This record gives sequence, structure tokens and C-alpha cells, in this order.
Amino acid sequence: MNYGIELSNQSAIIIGVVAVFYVIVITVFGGYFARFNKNINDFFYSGQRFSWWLPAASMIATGIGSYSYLKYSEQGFNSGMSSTMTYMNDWFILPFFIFGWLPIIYFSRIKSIPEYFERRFNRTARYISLVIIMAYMFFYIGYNLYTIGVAMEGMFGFPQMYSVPLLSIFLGAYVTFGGQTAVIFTDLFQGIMLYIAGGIAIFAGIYALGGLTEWWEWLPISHRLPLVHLTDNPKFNTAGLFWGEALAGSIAFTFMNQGFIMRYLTIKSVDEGRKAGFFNVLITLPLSAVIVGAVGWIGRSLINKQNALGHALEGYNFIEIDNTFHTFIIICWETVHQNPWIFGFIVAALMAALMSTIDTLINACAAIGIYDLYKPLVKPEATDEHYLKAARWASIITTVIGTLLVIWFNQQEGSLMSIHYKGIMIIIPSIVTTIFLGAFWRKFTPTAACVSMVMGSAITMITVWYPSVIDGLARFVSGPENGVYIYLRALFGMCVTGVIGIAISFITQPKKDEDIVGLTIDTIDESMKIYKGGEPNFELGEKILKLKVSLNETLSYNKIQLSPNNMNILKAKDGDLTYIADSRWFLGGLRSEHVKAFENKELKDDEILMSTPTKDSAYLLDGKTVDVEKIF
Amino acid sequence: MKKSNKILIGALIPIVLIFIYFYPRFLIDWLGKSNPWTSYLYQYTFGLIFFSLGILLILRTKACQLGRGRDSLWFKILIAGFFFFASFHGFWIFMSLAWPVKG
Repeated sequence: MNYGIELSNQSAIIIGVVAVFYVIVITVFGGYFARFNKNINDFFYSGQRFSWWLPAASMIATGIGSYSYLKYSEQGFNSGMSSTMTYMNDWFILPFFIFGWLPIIYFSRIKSIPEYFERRFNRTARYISLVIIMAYMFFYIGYNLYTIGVAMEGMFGFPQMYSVPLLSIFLGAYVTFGGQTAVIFTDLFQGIMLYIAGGIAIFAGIYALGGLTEWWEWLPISHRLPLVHLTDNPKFNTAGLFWGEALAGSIAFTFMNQGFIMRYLTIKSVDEGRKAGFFNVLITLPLSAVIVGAVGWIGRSLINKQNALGHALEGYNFIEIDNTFHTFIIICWETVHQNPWIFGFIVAALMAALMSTIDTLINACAAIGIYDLYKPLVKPEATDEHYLKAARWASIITTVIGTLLVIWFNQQEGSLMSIHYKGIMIIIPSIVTTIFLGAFWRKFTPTAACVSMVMGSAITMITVWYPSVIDGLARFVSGPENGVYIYLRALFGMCVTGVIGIAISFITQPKKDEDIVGLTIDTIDESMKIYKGGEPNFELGEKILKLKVSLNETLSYNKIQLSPNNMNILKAKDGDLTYIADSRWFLGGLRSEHVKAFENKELKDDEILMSTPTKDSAYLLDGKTVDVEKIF
Repeated sequence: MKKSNKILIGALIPIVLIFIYFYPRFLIDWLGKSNPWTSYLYQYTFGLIFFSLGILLILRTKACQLGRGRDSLWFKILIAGFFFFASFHGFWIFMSLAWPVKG
């Protein structure tokens, strides 16, 4: 495989230098954040201190994997702008997430999805879910490493057995030392990088075509449409995409992807988490759909124009795409006039996509390793220092396992995309349905959860060898009946799991109501009270800016005092949960903390009082002012 | 579970199942399988059903209490967002069909 482009030795060296330089810069940048990890809560959840925009912006890069550019450009070239469908059909599940799952996990202080399973059901459910979730995440880690390995080998002839371990070392290094904070800040940086590189590729393509109007007019109607044919293409059709991707896939990505869940848990409040959620679905995902797929749409238009004219576009080579999987590489290479520096930057973006997805997953797998295996089973009582060290070892072990999985991926047959979808659509349905029933139906029993997860997974797996069992369901929803079920397999798995779960719930005993407080949607109010340690105060106040910090060592840790006027502006009562942060907005809450506010009649309006331990835990610097806002 | 909730769920499940079966058949008979509006109506009608179930759930369980904190704001954004995506995709299909193609 040579990716349809011929690189001279000089070009290959330049591209390689740009890419390696980029990887080194990111590793050093990520390593800087090791200083913000005092305990494992900092290491995995950054102390729940960030403003919404920081995790939201960093999710851009997390959501775009190394395979995304290659896969969606190919999809865009073959079926047109409907390649955006998987990124733009997530709104339907948002009510469940924004008002259901997000407050449940946030207020009940869940650290991992398996932990939710133990608290909501029992320990058996925890470890069944752990196996499924780990399979899901390791699958993604291995798959991303494999795709970048394939790309490196194809473009530069650099064998996977060298490129993959080398990349893993760099990745593992900053995740191991910097933890979640490093992941968020590097992903923010990489997100910007992805958009710039994607923007360059799109601009170069549109410029080659002669402008946006030319691009649109040379695009056939079938390639302009936002939604694909209802059933025609067995691998990409609206009916299958709706049930399998908009519902099952989106729920999986939002509800059970430990990496994304952890990102939401780094945010300072549920309200800010909601902002991030809306921003992600409304802005990030549609924009990402354009960034990863547009080169394919441009490629289609360009080839049509070129074929109609009967010759290459002026100033460009005649472009031929024999293997559509190479669309992104070929179109970029040709439209940037084979400039190795610019192309090197685009290849670095592929690296960025890989690193930003995998760093999140490594951190997430390590979190599960610590919270669900090491802490409860190996060493329940240990110091923070010990767990922090263990967390770093967990990151290293995760990286090594992910790297070894590349060997397994290399032995699989079929295209990259079919491997991807087949794997994911088998793994997710049973656990997604169990989470859904657990969170939204109080009567769902522990026995039902365990049995439905195991049986749901087993029956979904069987459909790989006997796909005809899905025929009836496909007929029922007027989906494609072709035996090549990809998305409808997920719907089938969800239905089977749901039916088994509901049936068993009717004949087994649910957990007592008092044992599942805060873990179902109808108990969120109680959960908020427990989270705050008192009655929540929902009255909306205003944020107070630029207060000078004064120290008073008689104040308890995590308590602050404000003037009566400031308490009134905040609409806060004594003991209300507030949030203090360094006034410099661009830090995004890196230097901040949750504290309880109390009134002090002797304080001036431009002053805030706290003890040194509180100041230190917020990482506040001498001479810098702070902003204060009420959480609730 | 409250009695009113049980009745609501008991009535909703068969109605939704019957609708899922008959609605696409009606669309295909009416517009044809290849019509882009068939895909659009399929996605957004079923999407609306699922979305509405979510809205119903968060209101009935009081997870969303209009008038409390910023709940009303988030609720309005939820509703507006659905119609934004539906209108946006509708406009996109219209432009795809209406704009002349070269070549």
C-alpha cells in the first residue's frame, strides 16, 4: 500500500521531521502538567475544577480519531455530504443526558462506570460491565494505533513494528506523568491543530476547484444531500444509521465512554457540564464532521470537473483515486502542490488525532484499573501518594496492552472500517441498554442487569455467524434486509437485552429505594442535597470578579469569607457551595477550588478571606485576584 | 411507580410499536424509497418520538423543574436545538435539489 502518492526521499524526510517535531512538542507540553497532580482525584478528574469551555474544546480532538480523516473522507467521496450523519444526529438523546445521566454521575460522585454498576446493582454487575467497557476502550486504543501504523507504513514505508511502539512511548510518557490535566490541555492544543490542518486541506481543495460555488455546482445531487438513501447501501443507510448510530452509538459514546464521562467530571458544576454538552453537539460535532469529511466532498467535485473538462485542472496534476480509502492523502498531497512542509503539517494533524483520542482512553482505562481493580481488590487502604504511583503504573500497563493489540488487528481480515464497526456494534448494545434501564427505571433489578448483560452480549455475538436472525427486526423498522447488518445489529442487541432485562425484572427483587438514592433519574434532588451537604440554593446570583485574597489561618480548610454585600450579589447563604478561581479566564479553572462561603461583616467588598491550605489547594498565586461564583 | 405513569407507559408502548411498523411503509408508498425527503421524515419523526420520550421523562420525574435555577433555559435550548437541526437539514435538502448541477 503506498497511499496513491509517490514521495521522494527528500519529501519523506521533511514530512517525517515535521511530524516527529510535533510529537516531541506535545510530549513536553503535556509533561508540564504533572505539577497539578497531588492525588488521584487530580490525576484522573483534575479536581473537578475546570470551566466548561476547556473540556468542551478539548473534546474536539478526542472525538476525532486517527482513522476519522481517512474513513470519513472516503465516505464523503463515495456517498457525499451524508458522511456528516454520524456527527449530526446526537440531539435526540440529549434530554436523557443533560437532565438524566450527567447529574446522576456528577452528584453521586461516580468515579467510573463499573462503580455505578456496583452501587446501582451489585458487585457482579460491576465486573461484568468492567469486562465489556475495557473491551470497548482497548478496542479503540488498539484500533487507533493500528490505523496510524498502517498509514505510516503506507506513506513512508516505516514498519508498524517500529512506528507504533515509538508513538506509544511518547503518548504514554505525558499521560503517565500529566494525567487528565495534561490530556485536557494537550487535547485543546491538538484540537486547534486539527482544525487548522483540516482548514488548510479544505482551503487548498476549494482553491483548486475555483471557489465554493464551483465546488457545490460540480457536486452531484446524491453527494449534496445531508441524509443518505433509506436502505440502498447495506453499510451506510438512513434507517440503519438512525437506530444503530443515532441511538445506540450516540448513547454509547455519551453514556459509557469512560473517557468522555471523565471529561465531564472535570467540570466545575453540572450547569457548566450542560453548557459543554450542548456546545459539543451543536458546534463541535458538526464542525468536526466538516473537517474530517470535506476533503472527500472536494475530491468528488474535483474529479467530476476534471473528467468533464477532459484534462487536469490548470496548475495541478491529473488526479486519480483507485482506492477510495486513500482519498484524503491523495487530494491533500495534490492540492497543496506536493509541498512536503504543508503536507507534513497535515500528517502531524493525523498524529494529533491519534494522540488526542488515545491519551483520553489510556487515562480512562487507568482510572478503571485503579478505581475498580486495584483499590477495591488489591489495596483498599493506602496513601494518596501510593495510589498516584499506582495510577501512573496503570497508565503504562494500559499503553503496553493497547500496543500489543495492534498485533491482533494485523491478523484481522477485511477493511479498516468493517473491523471498526463490527467490533463496536457487537460490544456496545448490551451495556448501553443496561445503563439506560438502570438510570431511568427504578424497578430494574440487579439480577436482571447481570443476566441481560451476559445474554445480550452472547446473542449479539451469535448474529455475526447467523445474521439472518436480524431479518425480522430489519423488516419491522423498514431497514435494509441484506444480511450485511452493521448498525441494525446494535438495535437488535439493544432490543434483546432490553426484553431480557425487563422480563427478569418482573420476577426478581429490585434494590431498596434507599439503596439507590441518586442513582436513578427520579432521585437526583436527594443526590444534590447529599452532594452539597445541605439544602440546595437555586436562586441565581451574579459572579463577583477580581477579589484580593487575604489570609486568615483560623479559617477551616475549604471555607472562605466574603462581605455581606458580596454574599448578596452571589445570592448566597452561609454554607452555600461556591467556586473560586484565578481571575485570568484563559486558565479555564486550572487554578481554582470548590469552597463553602460564609459572611464576614468586617470584610471589604474587594476582599476574600481564606486559609493557606485552601489557597494552596486552589493553586492560587500570590498577588493574583480571584473570581467567585455560587454553584448552588 | 404511580398508577398514572403505569397507564401512560402501558398505552405508549403499543402505540409507538404500531407507529414504528406502519409509518415507514406509509412514507415509502407516498414518496418512494429513493426520495431524500423519505430519509428526512424517517429520521426526524422517529427522532422526535425518542426525543419527546426523553422530554416527558425528565419532566415527569422532576429531573427538570421549569423555573428552578437555569432549568428553564436548558429546557428551551433542548427544544430549540431539535428544531434547529430539523430545519437545517430540511433547508440543506431543499438547496441540494434546487441548485443546478454542472457536468
